[in-house]
Amino acid sequence: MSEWLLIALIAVPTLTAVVLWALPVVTGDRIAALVGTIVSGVLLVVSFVLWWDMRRPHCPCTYQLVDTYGSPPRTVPGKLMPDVDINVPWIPSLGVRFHLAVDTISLPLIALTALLVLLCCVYSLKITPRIGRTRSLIALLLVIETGVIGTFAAADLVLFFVFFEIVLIPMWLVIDIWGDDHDRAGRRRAATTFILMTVLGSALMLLGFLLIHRHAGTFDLVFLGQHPIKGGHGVPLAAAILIAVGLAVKMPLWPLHIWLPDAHAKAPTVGSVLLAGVLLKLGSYGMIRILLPVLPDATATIAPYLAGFSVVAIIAGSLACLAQTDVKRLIAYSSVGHMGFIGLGIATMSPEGLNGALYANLAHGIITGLLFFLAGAIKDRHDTSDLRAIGRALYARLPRISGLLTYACLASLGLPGLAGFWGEMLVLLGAYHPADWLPRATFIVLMVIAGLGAVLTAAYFLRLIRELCQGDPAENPPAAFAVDLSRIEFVTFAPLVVLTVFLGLWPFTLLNQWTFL
Amino acid sequence: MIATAWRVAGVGFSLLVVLAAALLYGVDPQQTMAGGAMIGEDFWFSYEFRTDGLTVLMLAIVGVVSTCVQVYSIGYVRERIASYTALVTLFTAAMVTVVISDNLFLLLIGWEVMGVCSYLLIGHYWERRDARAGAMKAFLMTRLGDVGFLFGIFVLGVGYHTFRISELGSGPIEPHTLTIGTILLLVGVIGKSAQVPLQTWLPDAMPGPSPVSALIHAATMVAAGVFLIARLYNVFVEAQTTLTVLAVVACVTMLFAASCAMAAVEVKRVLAWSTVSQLAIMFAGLSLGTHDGRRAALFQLLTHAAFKGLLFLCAGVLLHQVGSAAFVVLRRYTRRGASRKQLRVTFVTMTIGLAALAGVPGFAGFFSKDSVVEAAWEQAKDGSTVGWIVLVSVCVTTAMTAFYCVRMWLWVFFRTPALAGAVGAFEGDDPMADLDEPDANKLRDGSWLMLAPMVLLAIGAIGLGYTDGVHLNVVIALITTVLALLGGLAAYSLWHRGADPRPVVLEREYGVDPAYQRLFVVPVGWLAKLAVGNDRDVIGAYVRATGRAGVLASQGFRKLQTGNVQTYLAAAVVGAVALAILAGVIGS
Repeated sequence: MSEWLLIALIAVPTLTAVVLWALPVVTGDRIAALVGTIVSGVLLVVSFVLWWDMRRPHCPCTYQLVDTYGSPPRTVPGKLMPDVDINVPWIPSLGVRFHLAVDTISLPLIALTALLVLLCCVYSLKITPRIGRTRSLIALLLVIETGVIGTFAAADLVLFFVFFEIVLIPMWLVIDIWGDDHDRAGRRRAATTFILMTVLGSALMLLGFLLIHRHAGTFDLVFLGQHPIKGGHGVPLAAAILIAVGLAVKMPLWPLHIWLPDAHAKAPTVGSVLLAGVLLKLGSYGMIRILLPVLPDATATIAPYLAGFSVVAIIAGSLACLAQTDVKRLIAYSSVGHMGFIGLGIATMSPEGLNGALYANLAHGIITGLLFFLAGAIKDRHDTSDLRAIGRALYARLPRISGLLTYACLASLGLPGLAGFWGEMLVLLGAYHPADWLPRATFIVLMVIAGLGAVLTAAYFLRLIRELCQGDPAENPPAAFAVDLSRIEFVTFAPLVVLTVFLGLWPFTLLNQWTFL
Repeated sequence: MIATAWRVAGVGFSLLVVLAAALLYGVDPQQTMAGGAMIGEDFWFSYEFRTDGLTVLMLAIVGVVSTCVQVYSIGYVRERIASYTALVTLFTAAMVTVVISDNLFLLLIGWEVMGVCSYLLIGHYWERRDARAGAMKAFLMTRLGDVGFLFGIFVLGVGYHTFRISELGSGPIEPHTLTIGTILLLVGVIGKSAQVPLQTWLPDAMPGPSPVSALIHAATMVAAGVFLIARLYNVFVEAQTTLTVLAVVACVTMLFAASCAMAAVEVKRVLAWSTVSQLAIMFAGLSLGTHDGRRAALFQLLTHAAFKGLLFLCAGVLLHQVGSAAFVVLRRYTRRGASRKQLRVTFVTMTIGLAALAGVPGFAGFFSKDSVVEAAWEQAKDGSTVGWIVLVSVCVTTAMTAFYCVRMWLWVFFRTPALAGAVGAFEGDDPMADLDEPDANKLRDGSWLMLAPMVLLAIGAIGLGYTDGVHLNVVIALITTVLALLGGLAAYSLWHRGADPRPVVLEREYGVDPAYQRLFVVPVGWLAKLAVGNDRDVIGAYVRATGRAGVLASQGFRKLQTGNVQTYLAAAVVGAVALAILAGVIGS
C-alpha cells in the first residue's frame, strides 16, 4: 500500500504534466492551474498519509531507554532507515537499482515540497506571469515536483543523481521564459549561470559517487549506511570533497553561491518560491543523507572547513543583504546566510546540530517561501522590485501585505516563538557541543561568529522594514490601483503563516521524529 | 469594531493576570510541563512552568501595570488601535511567559518576543524618523545582548545537563564554566535592562507612545533583567566574579544615567534615564549576593513599577494636551500656574510620583531605596569592597535623583521668579516666545479613563512603601534624606535664579552614541559594500572568466574540426602514445 503511494508521489506529477502538454493550448491554459492544484493537493494528502503511517509503529520510548541505560556514545545521524522500501533492478550491468525509500528525515521534506507546489498552483489560479503560457508553467512545476520528491526518496546514488538532474532543466526554463519581463538579457544570463554552475556541481558529485562505488562496490544507500566507508583520507576523502563541493553549489555555500541572487531575483514568483523553498534543500539533504552516514571519517576530516565556509556564508550573506537595493535580491541573499546556518549544523556532526539543520531546512522553506510570495506581491503591484522605485511607507499603502512582510521578516531573523528560531538555536548548540572527534575550540569560535551573524540578519531585515514599510506617507502617495491582500493571496499565504507559528511554538512533534537517529 | 474587541481582550487579559496572581498567592510552589523532545542523548527540551512567591509578585506587578496601561490607552491612542492593543497584549503575555517559565528556552521565547513587541510599539508612529531609528536601535542592541544570553544558556545548560531553571545550581559544575555562563547571561540582562555599555537604546526609545513607555519601564522588558537575576539567584551567588562585574556595571550605570538625567531637557528623556539609574540600583542590590540584597532589589522593583508607570502616564497627559514634553514648551504654560490649575490631577499625581522617585520620606521610593542602602551597609560593615562601592554609589545617586526630580518638577509646573521668566535657559528658547502667550485654557485633564489608572498608581506610589513592614534604620534614613535634600536644594536654587547649566559632556550623554556609530555602524556599512563588491568583482569575475574561457575553447575546437581525416588520425595516434607513456610513468 505505502509502496504504491510512494510511486504515485513520484509518477503522478509527471504524468499530469504530460497530460497537460497533450491538451490543446487554449484548454490547457484555462484548466492547468486547477488541475495542478487538485493533483498537488492530492499529493500533499498522500505524503501526509505516508507520514502518519510511518509514525504509528514507533513508540516514543527512546528517551526512557537512555535514562535506564545511561548515555550511549553519540552516534552520527542521517543514516537511511527505510520505512517504505521499493527495490527493483534497473541497470543490472552497472549495479544500479531503482531503489526508493523514505524515512523521517525525508518525509517532512517531501511534505514541504508537496505543500509549496500546491501553494504555487493555487497562487497561479489567479496570478500568473505576464507572459502567460500557464499550461507549460504548471507542467514544469509538476516535473520539478517529481524531481525533488524523487531526490528525497532515492536510496540509490545514481537514482539520486538522476532525480537531482531532472529538476534542473525545468527550473532553467521557468527562469528563462517566465522570468523578469523587463530584463530579457538578465534573466537569460541568470538562468544560464544557474544551470551551468549546478550541472558542474552535480558532475563533481557524480564523480564522488563513482569513487564510492569503486571503493564499496555498490550505490545502495541503505547498504552504505549500514557499512560506512572507513578512513578519513585517500579515496574516501576525495569522494567526500567532490560530493561536498557538488552539493555546496546547490545549497549554496559561499563562495559557490554566486548563481543564487540572480536566479532568485529574475525568476517569477512561483519559481523563486520553489527555488528557495525546496531546491536549496536538495543540497543540505544530500549532505545529511550521503556525506554523514556513508563517509563519516572523511566528513570528519572536512567538517571544520565546511563549518568555516558556512560561517563565512552567514556573515558574507548578511553583509551583502545590508547593501541590497532590490527586495527579491535581498531575500535571495538572506537564503545564503540561512543555508550557512544549515551547513554549520551539518558540519558539527552532532545530534543537536543535525536536528537543527533538519529543522532549519523546513523552517527556511516555509518562511522564505512566504517572503518570496510577499516580495512577488509587492513586485506585481509596483512593476519593480527596486526599493527606491517602490518608495516607502508601505504600511500606509498596503497595510496587510506589509504587516505580513514584517511578520515574515521577524520569523526569518530567528525570533523565538516562530519557526526560524529552533533550527538556528539547535545549530548553535551543536556548534557549542560538536561531535567528540571534532576540534571544539574551532567550533566555539565559529559559533560566536555565527551568533554575530544572527545580529546582522536582524539588522538587514529591520533595514528592509524601515526602508520599505515605514516612512512618511505624505511623501509616498499610494498608487492608484494598488489593492491590498487579495483573496487568492490570503489563501496562499495563510498556511505558511500558520505553519510558522506552529513550528515556532510546538517544535516537539517534529523534533521527536528525529530522536532515534 | 475590531478595535473595541481588541481593547476588551487586552483589558480582560490583564485582569486575568491579576486574577491569576491573586489565586496563586500563598499557594505552595508547583511545577508542570508540556510537550518535550529529546535531542541526541544529552538534552531534553520541553516547556516547563512553575509558580512560587517571585512568580506571584511579578504577575501582580505585570497585571496591575498592564491593566492601567490598557485602560489608559483607550483614552490615549487614536490611530491604529487594533494593532496597538494587540501588541500591548502580546507584550504582556510575553512577560507573563518569562515570569512563569521554568525552562531557559521558554524564558528566551518570552524574552525576545518582548523585544520584538517593544520594537513594533516604539515604531508605532512610523511616520516619524526618530521613532523608526529608535525602534531599530532598541531591537538591535537588545538582540546583541540576547545572543550573549543564548550562549549563556548553552554554557549553563550543558554544564548542568539541564535547561530547567529549578534544577540549575544543583549538581557539580566547574567554577570557570559557571562564571562564563553567568557572565554571558549578564550580557543579555545588560542589553535588556539598558545598563552600561548597552544603555543608549532606552532614551532613544522615547518616541513611542507614552503608555508603552510606562509598560516597558515599569513592569516588563527592562524589569525582566532584574527578574532573571532574582530567579537564578542561587546560580549567580555561586559566581562571585559575576556579581562583582554586576556591581561595577550597576554602579557605573546609576551614576552615568543619573548625570544624564540631570542634563536632559525633555520630560520623557529624564524619566528614561532615571529608569536606567533606578534599575541599576536594583542590580546593585542583587550584586550584594545576600538574601537581604535580593529582597531589597525586588522591593525596589515593586515600588519603581508603581511610581515610574505613574510618571510616564503623567508625561502622556502632558504630551496629549500640550503636544510636547520638552521643558522649553511646557514652561510657557506655567504663567500664573496655568498648567497646574488646568491639569490638577496630573499635577498632583506627578508630584506624588516624583516625590516617590526622589525618595521623600514617607513615599514608596524612600523605603525601597533605603532597604538597598541598608543591605549594602550590612555588607560594607564586614569590610566588603562591593558593599562599600554600592553604598557610596547609591547615596550619591540619591542626591542626583533628588536634583533632577526637583529640577523637572519646578521647570515644568512653576514659573521661575528670575528676570523675565529666565527665557533662554533652554536651547531653542525663542526670546519672543514669551510674548505670544499660549492658550492655556485649552488644557484639560484627560478623560477619567486616563486619570483613574494614574490615581491608582499614585496610591501605590505612596502605599507600597509600607507593604514590606516598616523597619527603618534611623541613621541611614537620615543620611539619605539629607543627601536628597541637598540635591533638591541645589536644583531649587538654580531654578530660582533662572539658570539651568548643562555641561556639554552631559548633554551629549558622554558621546557614547556617536562613538558607537563610528566604531560599529560605519564599519559594518563598509563591510557590506565589500561583501557585495567581492561577489560582483571577484567571485563573479571567476564565473565570467570560466564562461568566456568556455566560449574561447569552443571556438578553438571548432578550428580543429577541419574535416581532414589525416589530422584526426595523427592527433589520435599522438594522444594514444602520450597516454601510454603517462600510464607507464604512473604505473612504475
